[in-house]
Amino acid sequence: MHCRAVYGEMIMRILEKFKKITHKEPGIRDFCIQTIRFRKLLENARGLLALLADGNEKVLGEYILDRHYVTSLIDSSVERLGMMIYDACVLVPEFGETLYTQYDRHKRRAGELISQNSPSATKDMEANTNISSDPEYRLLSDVLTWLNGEPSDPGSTVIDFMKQTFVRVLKHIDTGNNSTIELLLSNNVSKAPGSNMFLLDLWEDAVVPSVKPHSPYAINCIPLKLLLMDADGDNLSPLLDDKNKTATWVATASEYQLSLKILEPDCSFHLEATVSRHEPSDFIFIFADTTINTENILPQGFHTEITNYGQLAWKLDTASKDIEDSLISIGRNLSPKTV
Amino acid sequence: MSKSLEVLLLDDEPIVGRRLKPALDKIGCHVEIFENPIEAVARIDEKEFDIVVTDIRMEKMNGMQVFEHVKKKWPRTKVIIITGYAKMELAREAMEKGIFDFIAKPFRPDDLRQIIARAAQALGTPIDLTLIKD
Amino acid sequence: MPFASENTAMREMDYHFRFRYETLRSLLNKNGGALQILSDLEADLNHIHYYDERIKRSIRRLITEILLMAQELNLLTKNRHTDLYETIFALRDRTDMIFKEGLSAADQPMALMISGIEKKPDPALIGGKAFGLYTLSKFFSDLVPPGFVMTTAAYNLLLEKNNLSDRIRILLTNLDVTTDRDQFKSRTQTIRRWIREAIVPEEIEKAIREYAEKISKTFPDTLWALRSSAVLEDGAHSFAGQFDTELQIHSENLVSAYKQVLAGKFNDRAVSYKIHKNIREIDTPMAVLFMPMIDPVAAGVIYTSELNATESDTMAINSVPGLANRMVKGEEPGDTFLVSKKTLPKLIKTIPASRDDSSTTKADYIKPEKLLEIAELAIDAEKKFGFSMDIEWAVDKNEKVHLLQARRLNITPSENETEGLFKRGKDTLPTLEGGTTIFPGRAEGPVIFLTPETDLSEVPDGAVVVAQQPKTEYAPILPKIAAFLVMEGNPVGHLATLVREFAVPCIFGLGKNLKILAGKNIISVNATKRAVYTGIRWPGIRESVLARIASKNRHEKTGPLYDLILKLNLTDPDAPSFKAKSCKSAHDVLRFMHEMSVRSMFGFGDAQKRGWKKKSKTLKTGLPIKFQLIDLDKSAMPGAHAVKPDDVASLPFKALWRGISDKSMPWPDRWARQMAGMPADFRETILGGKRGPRRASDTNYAIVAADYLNLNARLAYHYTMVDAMVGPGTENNYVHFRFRGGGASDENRDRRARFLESVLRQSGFGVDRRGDLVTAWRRRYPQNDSENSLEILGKLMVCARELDAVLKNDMDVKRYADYFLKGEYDIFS
Repeated sequence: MHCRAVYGEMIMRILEKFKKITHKEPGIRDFCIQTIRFRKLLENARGLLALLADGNEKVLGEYILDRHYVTSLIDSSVERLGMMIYDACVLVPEFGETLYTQYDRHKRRAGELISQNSPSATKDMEANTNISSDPEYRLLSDVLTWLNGEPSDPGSTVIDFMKQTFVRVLKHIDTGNNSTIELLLSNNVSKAPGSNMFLLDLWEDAVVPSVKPHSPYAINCIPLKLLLMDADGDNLSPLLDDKNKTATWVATASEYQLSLKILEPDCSFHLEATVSRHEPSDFIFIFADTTINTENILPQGFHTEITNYGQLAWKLDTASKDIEDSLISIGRNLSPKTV
Repeated sequence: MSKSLEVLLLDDEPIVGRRLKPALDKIGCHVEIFENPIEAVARIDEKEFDIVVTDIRMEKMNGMQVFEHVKKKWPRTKVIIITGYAKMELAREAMEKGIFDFIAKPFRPDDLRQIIARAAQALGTPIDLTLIKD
Repeated sequence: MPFASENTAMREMDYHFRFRYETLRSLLNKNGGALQILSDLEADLNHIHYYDERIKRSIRRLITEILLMAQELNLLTKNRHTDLYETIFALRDRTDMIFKEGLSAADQPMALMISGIEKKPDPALIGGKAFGLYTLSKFFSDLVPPGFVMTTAAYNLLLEKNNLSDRIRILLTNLDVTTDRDQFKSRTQTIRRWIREAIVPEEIEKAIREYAEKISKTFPDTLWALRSSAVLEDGAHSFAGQFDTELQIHSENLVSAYKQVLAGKFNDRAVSYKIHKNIREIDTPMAVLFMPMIDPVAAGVIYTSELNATESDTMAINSVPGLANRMVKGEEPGDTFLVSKKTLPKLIKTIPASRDDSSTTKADYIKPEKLLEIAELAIDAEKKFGFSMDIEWAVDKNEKVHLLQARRLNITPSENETEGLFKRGKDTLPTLEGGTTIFPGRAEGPVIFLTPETDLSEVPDGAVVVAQQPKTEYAPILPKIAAFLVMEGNPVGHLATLVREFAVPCIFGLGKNLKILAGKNIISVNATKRAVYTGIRWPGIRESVLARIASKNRHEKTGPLYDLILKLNLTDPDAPSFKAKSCKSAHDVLRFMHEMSVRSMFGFGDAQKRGWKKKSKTLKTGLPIKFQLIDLDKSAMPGAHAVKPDDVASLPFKALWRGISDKSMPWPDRWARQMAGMPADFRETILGGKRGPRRASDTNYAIVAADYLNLNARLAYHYTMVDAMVGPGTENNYVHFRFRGGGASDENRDRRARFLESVLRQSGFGVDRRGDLVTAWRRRYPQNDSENSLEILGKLMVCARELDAVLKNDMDVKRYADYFLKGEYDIFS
């Protein structure tokens, strides 16, 4: 599906409903930087997931690996986690101390794993005699337990920590008091009552640009086009199944990236997507409040996680076409056509 | 019928020999395993191997030194380097000096088998990987 | 209650320091990553077109990283640099505009016909030679054989499918600093082998087959000639004979011949030609021209002007019977025919190949009428193209003339031509004489005196520049000036080397009398004869000087992205122009941010903060060096207010200290000797301590954690910063080093910097030297290697203090670097 080409009629109509936020709005630069920083957080988290996946593949037993591989897996995980936590602290400085305290705990555990000489064999490993004879494999399985094994208490694995960080950060920046977006919107909503959909260009609108004016359909954003491709322009945003039309849409767009927030008074939905046809970069990430029934929104193939604060879902490392189709489905589901 | 491929495998980590030997046996290689580079070099002085597979970083001697030694003594022998981490400078240096190929850990035994098959072909004694008796 | 709040305050301060430390780490990590992207981009832009998707992705990634770094810098410096944001967003905007203008890779064709086509092809797609041929065929459509060109897009695809781009880039990196001829040869040989063994993608094979078949319809059973058509071959650089040509190729062998020609691009003649000509690119995208072979009875080349004269009225035709390729390569002498350059040309003179004037000319394979026919065509071509040309021609057995190649002619002014033009010269005495020739040649232009206030970017093209000293920071103007005159200066200095590289006529050591040129407008310089004249002395010189400058400058850029991304304008951190506003490129912004963040780390040791003083501990040592240490994660140092080096549980600190305190370090003796008899407060000033004129800022601070060290030291006017992360793993480890030498003359500072660069490079560091600022890094090495690097840095810090005394001339740089690396440190005392 080559969406770079033509603008469909339908998409044009929907885009016209968006009100364009421009550089003249206060706080917009900080909002854009915040969006970019959040994406960096996601990117670092993705890196962590990739490390985990790699370790999982290697532990299956077919590989010849050395201790260096395992220790470098540990180091890389600590580094990635640190980068993620740093991003989180920048986004929400109030969380800084607690985040670093938890991070330091993980760092210490990592240090223990590295300096261990004879790591303990776990129950699973005893079953496979081939593996248990190699200390490298035993260490690897210990590392994987630390990363994502069965948690004896919540938040004790690295991945748990990662997930919790996501949700807390998102809740804070999307719906916290005095959040950047709240400031941005309060200014806009008061100026133009009745409009509830906002669009801005992530890069062009952040600072005083050149003379060219920007209209909503001048923004070339592939994921946004995909999202709206099959949507019904008159029926957007029924997040809570009760035709509540006071939801606010804020779409921050660039050529290949979309950051979409749908905000209702007690409920939020957040979507991040990259569609560039470069598979290592493409992904969809979603955070939805616990009250939202994501089954009605998400197509197949998403990895989902449920936490106390909300649901996480993501799709990555798959064909670009899959990502594209998923976006179209989601868009359709967010605004089912009235028959 | 055809002579089996004589391979010398050198790595100071036991896991390598332990996992590679059975894999290479299956494709008809006769493998001698060494963990000590000094011993391996002594053996190389005694016998001409078709292929030498060596780790690049070992405590007593590094793989490039082993390679130089092999090159001088048995220029026909194909040398394959195992690296523990992809180090670009080493890769560059090694490729210029004439190693046949290199493989980075972690790898699967089959990945190395493919390289050995190419080396065998370059030697004029190709092995048929489809005949693997698993 | 006061206890509890103090605890909270301490905890908050702890977090505050921690957050700064993590911010710095994040910034430095990103900086290293960004520099790597820049370096890869520079290499990639040499052989991938700038609008390729990969380039776009890299650049966007780079700009995103830079933006995040700017946020981090502002966090570090309390928002002192928010003006950076505008610059960065503007960079994104402008690069996006450039990308919109480029073609998408999918639209680029693999092959194009060069004749009989309507749309003008993009020279960047088909290369200079093919473009020249296309233009020739437009003017002389029936004389140019039909041909097709496999485009640079095909070249890129071949590299991509065989995963060659990265591998080629690795081998070509740092090739221009290689002084080892053997390494140069072997690397180029390896690349050629890779290309010859590459698997040709199906689209390319198919395109070659189809186009060849099309042409075979008019030329059945023809053999083929394949010629390189590189993108820089547009005339200003001839590349004559530098790439390979494949002749007499059967149609079934076209694909392997194609690879052969591509491999020829990396033969060492070609690569060293580019380096010699100071072309920034190390390799250029290549297209290949496929033409059916003519079976000639005679072939050769015609030059529409004599090579050694700017204006002449004769043309030279070189000719051989049969194919001309060996003659063109210089392997076979040809017969030369001089023809008058008039509307009706006449044959003036025949010089047979045997150079034997007495015998009658044996050039009976070609009739004089044919020669004149060729001459007329050449004159016509010169008119249509607008410049002097060299044109390859062939005559087949049906007496038909074919034109096979056309190139712009490079005319270099020779020294000998002066004889004829020396009209006024003999009677005018030089205004100045003397000095040392650094590079010979003649030039003329308006005189510009360089002062510390001069903005180098304001120096006009073609100026004759006068300076007191040959400072390295003048290097940027060398490509664009006519001549360079210096009052002082050492012929073996760094700038002298650059002058030779840029071939700028130059005289050093002319003395203070140069000042008399101050009132003059135009001056003429004869650097060969070491004489300077007022006014215009040789008419016509100015044009050739400007032409030389223009042709050099044209090849400095690698495309529109160069200025926006790669070019470094901010070279001097001490200059008043070193501001966020002056940043024009991404590289500038990186440089600026790195400098500012590193400077802020000096501020990290600001003892004004109460908690700082409280928190830091004095390092107990007998060496004349004062350090205050700060324990960042409360694990590095036990209790007390003073701590012994052995008790500092920081891997990187321990390693550095091993170097500094090494028994073979030269300083204790020298210090004792030097300091004996000096007043105590003078001693304190030199070494840094609490009683110097500048108080706490002279204290050397080291911030340590178990795996981290950040040290800011001032040892005898040298500023050193060491920032290192060293742990039992490998992935996180890095050692960063920054040195700025103070005091001494420019030459000494420069030599010091070069000494450090040499030692550091040979010790495995990546090094960036700008003037007297040296930055070095070693990333992702295992613990042992990282620790060794830190030891070396410790030793360097100590030995650097003695460098001014021992580095007396440029030869010493290499000598002392060798001494240091061999461990002969006593030589430094």
